Amino acid sequence: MIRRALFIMVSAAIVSACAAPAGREVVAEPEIYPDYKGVTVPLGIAPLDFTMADSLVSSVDVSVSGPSGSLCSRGRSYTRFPIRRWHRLLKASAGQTLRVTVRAKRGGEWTTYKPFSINVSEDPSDYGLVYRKLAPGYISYSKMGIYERDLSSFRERALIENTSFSGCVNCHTSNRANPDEFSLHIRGARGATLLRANGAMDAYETKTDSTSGFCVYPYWHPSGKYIAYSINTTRQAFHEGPDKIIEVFDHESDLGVYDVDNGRLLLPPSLKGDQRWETFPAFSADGKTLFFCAATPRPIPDSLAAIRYNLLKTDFDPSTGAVGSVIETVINAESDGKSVSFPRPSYDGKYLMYTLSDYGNFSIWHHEADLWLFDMETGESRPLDEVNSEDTESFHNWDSSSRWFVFSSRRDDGLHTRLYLCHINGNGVCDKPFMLPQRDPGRYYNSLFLSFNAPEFVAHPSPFQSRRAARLINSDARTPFKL
Amino acid sequence: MKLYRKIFLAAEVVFVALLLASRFPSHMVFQERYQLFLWTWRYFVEVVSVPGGMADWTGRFFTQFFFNPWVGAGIVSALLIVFQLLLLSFVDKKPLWLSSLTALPVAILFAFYTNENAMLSAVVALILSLAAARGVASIGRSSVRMVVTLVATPILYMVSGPLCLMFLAALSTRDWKAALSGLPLSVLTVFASSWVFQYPMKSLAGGVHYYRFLQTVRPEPWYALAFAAVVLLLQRFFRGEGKAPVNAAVMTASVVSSLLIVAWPLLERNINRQKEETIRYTLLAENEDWDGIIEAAGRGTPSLSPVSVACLNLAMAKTGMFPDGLFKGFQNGPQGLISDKKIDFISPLAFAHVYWALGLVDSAQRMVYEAQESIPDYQKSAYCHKWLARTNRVNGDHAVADKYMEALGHTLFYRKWRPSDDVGHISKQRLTEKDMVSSDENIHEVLSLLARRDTSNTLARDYLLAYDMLALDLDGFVADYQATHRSQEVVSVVYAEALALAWARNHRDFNGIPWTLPEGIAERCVAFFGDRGANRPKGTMRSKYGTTYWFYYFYHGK
Repeated sequence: MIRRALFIMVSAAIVSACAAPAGREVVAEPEIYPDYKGVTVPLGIAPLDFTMADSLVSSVDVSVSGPSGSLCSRGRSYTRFPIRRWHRLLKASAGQTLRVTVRAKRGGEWTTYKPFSINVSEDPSDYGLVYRKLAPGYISYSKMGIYERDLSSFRERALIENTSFSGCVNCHTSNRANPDEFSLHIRGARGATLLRANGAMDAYETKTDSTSGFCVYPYWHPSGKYIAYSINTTRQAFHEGPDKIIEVFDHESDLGVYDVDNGRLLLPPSLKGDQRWETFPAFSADGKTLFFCAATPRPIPDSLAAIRYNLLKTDFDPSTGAVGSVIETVINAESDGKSVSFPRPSYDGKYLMYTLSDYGNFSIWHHEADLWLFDMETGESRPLDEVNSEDTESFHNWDSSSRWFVFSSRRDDGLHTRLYLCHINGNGVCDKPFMLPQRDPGRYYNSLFLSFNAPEFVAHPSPFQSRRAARLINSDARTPFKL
Repeated sequence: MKLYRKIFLAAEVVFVALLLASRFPSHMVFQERYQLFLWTWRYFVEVVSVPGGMADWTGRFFTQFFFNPWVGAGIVSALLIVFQLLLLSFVDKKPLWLSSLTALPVAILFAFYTNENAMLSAVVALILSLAAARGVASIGRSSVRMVVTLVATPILYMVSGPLCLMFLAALSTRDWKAALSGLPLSVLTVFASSWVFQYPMKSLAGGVHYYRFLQTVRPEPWYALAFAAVVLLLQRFFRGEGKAPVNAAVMTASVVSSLLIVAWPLLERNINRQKEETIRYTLLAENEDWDGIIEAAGRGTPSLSPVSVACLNLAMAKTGMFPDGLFKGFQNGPQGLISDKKIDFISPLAFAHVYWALGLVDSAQRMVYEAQESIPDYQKSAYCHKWLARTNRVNGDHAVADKYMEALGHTLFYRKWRPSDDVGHISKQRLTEKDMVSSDENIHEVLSLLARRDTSNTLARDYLLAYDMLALDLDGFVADYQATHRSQEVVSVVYAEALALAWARNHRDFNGIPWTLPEGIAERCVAFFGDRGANRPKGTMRSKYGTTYWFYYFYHGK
């Protein structure tokens, strides 16, 4: 008897959760946050929970149906899809489209909206993302850290937080989404560069007698034997006037290549000197070309708005670490009154994605900054109009398959950068990007005063040892970069 | 509890509260300024997921009432007395002299709380630990008590932090075996926590949130714990109430003397007069109590910090005493007018007022943001959130302003706060040059732009000319004066002194001087140079010319 009653109750609950409440129908799609309407997602992505943009909505009833199944969520003003059933539904819908029907209760009346679609790509993405979370501040900094997010769920773990030492966590990068090889720059009283290579991690002093500063922006060679670094003397200035906030600029910068196995920093003469400021190095997919941005030096800060970076390239010999003496211009942005930053070649060798802004190299603070795609075969560049917004699009990275990329954008509120994932097909056409999913995203993002910064994919969970890293940072021992 | 004890404790509450509220009113408000207590589940989880988190959350809960110094002082003294009462409950039936010793740890904690960076979580942690000890001690069966102790020890570490040792110390009065068994477990818990929490071992073992500077472990809460433990240990040797060797008067005397002997040296060590002054000036500026600042300057120390000077200069500017009052008080250079050099959680808030008054909204916003991000224990500030909502609103960044407003909506006292619509002076005065980069290096350029573009912006002009004078840049002063000079303007005395000095550098007399100086200035200037040429001592020069620009120009910093 009890079992029967229980069965009836559970069945009733399931039926009522998916039942379509009576009410009026409207032809418009619902206004939801984040905007997941028509986006393309990878197979293993976490549930795309969303919040009704209309704050007067008191209940929401959502059904997601695919070719061979469906699931539903009923909540107050946001959805909460069960993770396992969501993944089962996605798996069964690979290469097809999910239909999302939203019914919302507002002022006691239910409204059924025009269904919208979510495209499920057959291209899987990497395991997760690693990013820095910090307040989009000026000079001082509060709590910050490097975090790893499992893309199939909402799990986020701190790889390292600055609560364990005095300083700030800065540029970090792994080798083509492989977190086994990892470089992390620490600034402040305990400044160091943590390098994880060949299964071991150590703290390094990257400033040498022959370099003007620390090794800052890293990029791993595909072989894992080299890391190209920019060596920057960086400063900040602050705007007084509407629209602009901060400028980050270099007083000088060069490039160096660190030979991981031999512990030597190579300083190629062609990438060092006062006639040019080089920064943001990146190796091509085959490791035989070194791309970088470069500008003609001008007085700072007076001529700040006239400093424009082009994209250049030179040969790289992986067997010796030698850099070619001939330097070619790949994209002459200066001639168009623009500036290139953050070049990122795709790992399949077909494209190079970069940020284009009006001037300078720190496009993160430029509202006009947009993503552009350079086709390696044709030599043509185009703006990613299907991805860009009115606000800043800046830092970006490819997943290991080169079919997905992640980028940060200020489009959400104009200040705090959020992460967006985007599918790109074999022809270089991008689908509509989607914001990194969160549980109760309205509340999550609205109450988060931190920016997501320098995101990159990781193919598997990082073996980064937080405790050891903190111990290394807090110790005085630093292995010097030899020349 | 006997009547005299009640009377005594009540007197203690009043004494501590009076002393805190009257001697350290700024401390109370200061504490409240640097936190943003949110009534949200996420905030709760975030705070309690650190060792000692529950004590910290409770401390922050109480701190939100500190915007009124009397309420704040009352809460601190009440918590101290609760701590003492709980201690007393473990020595309640012991000789009176032993009971009176419980005032010692209270005295130490009282001294601790005269430090503006001492967080309430320390005393709350001790209270929670003692309360837990009361609960466990009341368990009848020793085996159950043992099990509960072993389970409670790591939990209490999460609740109270390492001061949970108080739990074991108090429990030892009823069951020393259970207390002893919990001791290695507590040590183990601290070590284990270093695998989970990203804090240095020093913080995990010394307390993460007992003090605003997370990397600093202050000894006072540990002294208090140690004294309390000694008292609890002593009571084991004095079983039963016995005959009180001393009476209530002696107890009172012992407590008062312990307060004086123990707390006073600590208290004196904790007081930094200049910091006190800076906090007071900053809070007065925040309340726009300009008369209060001028009054405080009149009775304060002769040498002020740059922050205090900046507040005083702004107060003079706001009350029409600028520029003639400029050299009537202490000046320490252009950084006492406006500066973005010092980045901490106190100074930028004072300078934010100056930037705001000048219409430099972005710089004001930057100062407030810097202050908030510099709060050493990573908290946010309701006060800064209000500022940032206001500046973002003026800048047209409504989505960001709304975020701050929404956060404030989760507080108890600021949920109904709305930024004032009256920002007329900002929209008229602010710079429109999009690429104007502002920093200490070009603040003169920014002031010059403000003053020259709108000659009715007297504040910008006064700050520009004061900047020239304080930087000892007479050529710059003359150029800026001429560029911003209005016809029919009566030259102020201080400006006239600077003009006279600039003229006197290259001329033998004042014939042909292009400005109409107020009567007597030229004669005084001649007299000044006469006395200076006669090598009069600095003291004499100060008594005769101490309020003139000439004295500042030649003797400042010498």
